[in-house]
Amino acid sequence: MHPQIAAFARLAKENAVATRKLAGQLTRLGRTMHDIAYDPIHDEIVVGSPFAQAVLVFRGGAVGEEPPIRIIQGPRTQIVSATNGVDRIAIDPVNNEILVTSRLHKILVFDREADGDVAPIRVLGGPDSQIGTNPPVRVDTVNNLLLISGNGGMLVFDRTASGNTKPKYVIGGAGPTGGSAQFEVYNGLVIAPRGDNLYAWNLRDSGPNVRPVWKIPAPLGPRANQLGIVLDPAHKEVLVATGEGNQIRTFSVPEFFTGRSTNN
Amino acid sequence: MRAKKSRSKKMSRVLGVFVTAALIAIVGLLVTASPETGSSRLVSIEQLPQEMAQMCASPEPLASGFDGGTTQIASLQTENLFASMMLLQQRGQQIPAAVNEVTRAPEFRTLADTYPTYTSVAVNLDTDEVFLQDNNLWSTRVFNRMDNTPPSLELTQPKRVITGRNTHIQYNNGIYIDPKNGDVYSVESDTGDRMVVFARDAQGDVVPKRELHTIHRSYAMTIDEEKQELYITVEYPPKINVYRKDAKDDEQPIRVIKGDQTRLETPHGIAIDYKNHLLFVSNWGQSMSFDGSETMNGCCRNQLYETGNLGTAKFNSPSITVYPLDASGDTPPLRVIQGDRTQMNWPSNLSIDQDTGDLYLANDVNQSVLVFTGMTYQRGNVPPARVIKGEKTGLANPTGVFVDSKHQELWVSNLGNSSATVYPLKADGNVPPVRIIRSAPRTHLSLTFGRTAAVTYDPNRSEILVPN
Repeated sequence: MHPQIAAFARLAKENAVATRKLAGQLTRLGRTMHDIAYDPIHDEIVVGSPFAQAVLVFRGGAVGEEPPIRIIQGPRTQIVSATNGVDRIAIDPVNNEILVTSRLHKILVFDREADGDVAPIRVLGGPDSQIGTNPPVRVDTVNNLLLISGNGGMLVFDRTASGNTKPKYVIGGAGPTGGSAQFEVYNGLVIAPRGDNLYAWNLRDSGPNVRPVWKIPAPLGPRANQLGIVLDPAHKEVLVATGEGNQIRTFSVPEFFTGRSTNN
Repeated sequence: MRAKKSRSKKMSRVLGVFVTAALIAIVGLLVTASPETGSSRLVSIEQLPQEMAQMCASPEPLASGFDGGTTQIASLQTENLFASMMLLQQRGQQIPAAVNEVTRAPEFRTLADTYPTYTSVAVNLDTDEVFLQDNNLWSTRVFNRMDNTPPSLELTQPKRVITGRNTHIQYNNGIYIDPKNGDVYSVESDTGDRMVVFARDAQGDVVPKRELHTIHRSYAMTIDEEKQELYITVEYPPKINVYRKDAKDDEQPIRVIKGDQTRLETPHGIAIDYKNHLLFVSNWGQSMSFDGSETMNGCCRNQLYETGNLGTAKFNSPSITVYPLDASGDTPPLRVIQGDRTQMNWPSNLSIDQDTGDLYLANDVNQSVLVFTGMTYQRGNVPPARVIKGEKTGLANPTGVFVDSKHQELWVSNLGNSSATVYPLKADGNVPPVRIIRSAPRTHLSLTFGRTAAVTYDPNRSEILVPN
């Protein structure tokens, strides 16, 4: 396997040439990057290096074999590797935090500028939290919420929740397939691809099996599995990484960006 | 005849789609009959674009993600509906009907590489055939050894391709040809967790002769033909698993090289020096302590994994570790080659010239092939004796090498441009290949995607960022 972060123009299509690639020994990248975050305020890229129990922060415009500008790694970090190590990651650029999920059913929250062997500023986890193994996590800075995906749906916490805290509520059935892939929170919606559709759930809904508010066709092509997702609100587009399909598909989905998010 | 076959293929696809649609419709009715699902508001209806219509008729699954069970049902179209319903109930993940169901034609664009991405190469010296392992389209492609794509030609068509769901070829990185019977061995690195073995003339969507269920994150393989032992590197937790050559299914290794003293650090390539009974392994340098005291269920095939000890991880420089061929357990290497003078940068597959003992290394990010000599005694920060590198070489992220001692040639597979390049075995410096097999236009640069499970977007630069 050849770990890399490849950058492409927004409108890139089949066989497009990458505008830049980040790869090589000095980057400290390792395989199995199941999540990636871009911080548009501070222009930084954050990924995990799972075989080295590390979080890597790069310049937004990093290219070639450029080393990370910061590395969070060491015994104080509580980052364990286990099998998948640093698998899921999120950035909260508004509150200057990096969130790392752990195989030990915990969310580790670091100061965005943490570097080296530093302890997390908060740890959320414990039996009451219902947090699973290496769950995808996202921060809704508008509503000050922390969303953690799980097998049964979306766990919603106060953004600064810590310790063995129960979720505020659960959006049952919401989120990515099996709860184990990237999802997005935007405009009061929890958005995730499933099969050949994009689904959106209302962030305020709760219950055991919540109705999505949107189902929009999004054919993902052959072999699609283990999907990723990111939004481009400026162009009203949703980008889906098709995992085993080795493709990125960009869908025009104005419905998610109109401001209407509730059942109507 | 061909047209007839094509028509019948189309018919069977259409039939398949029809059966799938019927199953989906029935399940949909059952699902929407549930009191909690409610009814949807139809937002719009438009004709599907041609691309989507083609996709619906594709023999490939629509998507493997779970979508209220419809995808799973599609894969079970030849089985009965009851089985499909049971599966849905077991999963318990039916998605209620959405409040707003959009049915307009989706508008989308696709970022993908339509050409193969070659990770490794091997040559059958009896049949004069070259086998290239493709990570992108999930195939093994077979060419004549003397094929040479002229600059004027877009690409060279393979004489055979092994690909399809039955082959279980996925993200395969290691390939080996049995020198006696021509069997093709290929080990998978990610989603498949298998080593597959095909007959030398296998082609199409063929079931492997046998499979060995391997550890997740296996990378490369080689075989000790004298002892009939199969060696497979595992990136993480780092180890070398040694099996019987004929091992299959869930057979366990007969011995394992692993532990802190081994200095295995994200091992990749592996090669055997038969004459001197030495084992060479290339390592990327991501290191962690494993004392074996903690284990947990892994992500795949319910394998048990050792857990790396908290806070012990380090980024070391890449290395080649050398072991006695019969090493087992926590055996320290006899010697380690490591340091800036080695020029290693994500060292990948290895191959040995059994006549001279010279070790050839595909040096991915350094865009080079390194040749180390004196491998029975070299240690430390030693420079390679020869380096094939430069714009004339045609090398682009080389990750596979094969020494053809019979014809005194070196084969290299290039991840970065969908090609294999051939050099005189003693080549050194910025030398052009004597032949090249291209599977893409000359100007093509591979996207080098390898399981795009995540994506993010940089609005400041209007760029899509894709990790592997």
